[in-house]
Amino acid sequence: MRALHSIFFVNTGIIFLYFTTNVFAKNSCEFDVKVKQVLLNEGFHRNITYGIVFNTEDEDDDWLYKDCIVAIDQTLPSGVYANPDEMEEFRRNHKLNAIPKNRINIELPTEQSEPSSVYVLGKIKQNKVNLWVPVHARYHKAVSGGGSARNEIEAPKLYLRCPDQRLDLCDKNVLPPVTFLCNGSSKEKCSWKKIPFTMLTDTLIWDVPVGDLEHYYAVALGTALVVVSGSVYLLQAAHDFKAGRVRKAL
Amino acid sequence: MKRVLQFLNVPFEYHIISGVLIRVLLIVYGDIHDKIYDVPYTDVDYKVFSDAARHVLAGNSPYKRHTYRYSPIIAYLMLPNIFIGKNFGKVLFSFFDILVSIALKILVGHQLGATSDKRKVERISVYCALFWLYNPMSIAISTRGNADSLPCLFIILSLFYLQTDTVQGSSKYLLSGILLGISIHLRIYPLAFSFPMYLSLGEYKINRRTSIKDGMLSLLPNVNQIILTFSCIFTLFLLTCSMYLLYGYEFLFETYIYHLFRKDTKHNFSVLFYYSYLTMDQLSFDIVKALSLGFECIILFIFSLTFGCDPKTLPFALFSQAVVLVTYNSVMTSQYFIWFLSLLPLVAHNFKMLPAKASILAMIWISAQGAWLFYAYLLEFKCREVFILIWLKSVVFFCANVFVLGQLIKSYTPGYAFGQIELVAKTKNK
Repeated sequence: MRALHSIFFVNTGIIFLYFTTNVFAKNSCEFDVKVKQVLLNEGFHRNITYGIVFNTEDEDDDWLYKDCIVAIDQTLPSGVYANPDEMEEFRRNHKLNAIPKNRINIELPTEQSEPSSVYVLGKIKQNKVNLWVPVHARYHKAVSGGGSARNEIEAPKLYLRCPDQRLDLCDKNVLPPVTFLCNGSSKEKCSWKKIPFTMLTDTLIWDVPVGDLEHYYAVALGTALVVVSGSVYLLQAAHDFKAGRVRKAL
Repeated sequence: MKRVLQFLNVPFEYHIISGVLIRVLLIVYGDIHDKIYDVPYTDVDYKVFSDAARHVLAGNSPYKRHTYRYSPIIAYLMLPNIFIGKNFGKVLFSFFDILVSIALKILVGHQLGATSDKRKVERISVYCALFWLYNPMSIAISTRGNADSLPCLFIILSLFYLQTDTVQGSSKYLLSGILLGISIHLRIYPLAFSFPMYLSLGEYKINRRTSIKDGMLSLLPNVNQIILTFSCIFTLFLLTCSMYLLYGYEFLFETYIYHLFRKDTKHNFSVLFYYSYLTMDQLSFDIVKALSLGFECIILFIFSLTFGCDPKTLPFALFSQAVVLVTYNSVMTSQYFIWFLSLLPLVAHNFKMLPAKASILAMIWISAQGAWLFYAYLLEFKCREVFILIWLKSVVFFCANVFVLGQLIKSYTPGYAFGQIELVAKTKNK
């Protein structure tokens, strides 16, 4: 009886091992993920959108992504920022799940700012996820000749978190886990897996106009002249009013 | 035209009801608009107030909300936003708007006094109050949830108690001073009004034959002036100190110091905008800004002396000072316009000018703004390199402000009352 039991266990063990190695061998955690990153609208206030597709050859293979949550870690250059308060409001209204990684001062010009990062989270539905985050351009210091300054937004990093341990099946050396916030609404930390992907789009380019230092003398002189003449005009008007009242009184 | 007159002449209560309706409708519209469009109807600062109130409710400082640059009182007023509904603040600001209209009507009625038949006085005071009640700017500002109508209310009320006999005896000066103190605590700019308000309570019989000694004596403060000054300073001190004790230096910095040394380089209406942007990293003494500030102070002082010494012309002193404060400010956004638009109804009936000229002046002011807005739109939403054109438009707008104010000073005739009462007086004289 005992021998029978042990044979059974060994057998189940072998079957399980066969199954996992088979799945593992078949998929080898070979992620076939494609990311499209687009900058929408024009002007100083725009949206970055991400279209992420998790490709699988046949339907049996979608186990790797099913019900998983994607986190995008987007680094923004110093000339661009995501407004933490705006993101918090979107989070409150369940429109968007985005969290700033650093403290952000939205009022500083580019030269006094540092590059920052933002996490954007979303759930995979039918092997796809579409994410977006509103971003704003900072003013750049004026330069001689004016023109425009270039902001370049690099490709993001992509992380995955799944409801069970399935990602642990993948080779830990290739995909070391990273720990950061689970979502925007709590301080709880989760373990995320960084996953490789193919970018379908180029680095995003965002040109913003900058002031022209060659205007300095014209602007300084013009401003001063306008302020002085306007002031003299107003003082003259007040003087005339007073003189008129005195004349009437006499 | 007849229809318009018929509408204007309906009882004031009806106007108040329609004013309330317009505001309620716009608050409801704002909610729908915000859900549909990307560019929200609600003011950016309204969210700041609500967030600050959320911090206060959690037992924290309202200054935990980045860019909250107001007195904590506004965050306290916004507390019901969190537990009653997000539109509470807008309703409150609109309610203040209506209060301002009522105060304006009574104040204008008092200005006109018992000079002529009551019906005309009533009619003129209603017309003046409508300048505020139906002003698209005041409606937009309060229904979008901007708190700038709050200091306006306190200034109007301060003037109301100072110039009417609703409260009699010396307590009216006390009340007026307290209200002025509150308004200065909320926003620094009413500080400029304190000088003409103080001057208006004195009696000056200085002429060429007055000896220096008598002249100096007449400048000594009387009891009313002392009451006004002390109640104002005491209120301001009390409020500011208690807020300082609660929130420390952060309160002082965000509410006052930041505004005094504000170096906002993003585009705004101010004539100094492009200059400030080009000189962004120069921290030292700046001749152009010093020149502008110097002239601003001189004009404020001269206007105080010219219009502030007589209680009759005091409202015009405040109005013209408010225009100067906005025009010369190093940062100017459209919300600042209500600093003087709230005072306009108090003086509108004193401008002796043809309606056509009044319309032209209004057109000049509005189109100069429109031109600036067009180029600002090109910059902000189309990324076009139009800084120099925005600067030129801000110069045009500065000139428009100065020119319109100059024309208003020229046509300013105390007691004119839209020409209605004077006409009656003339016919009587005949």
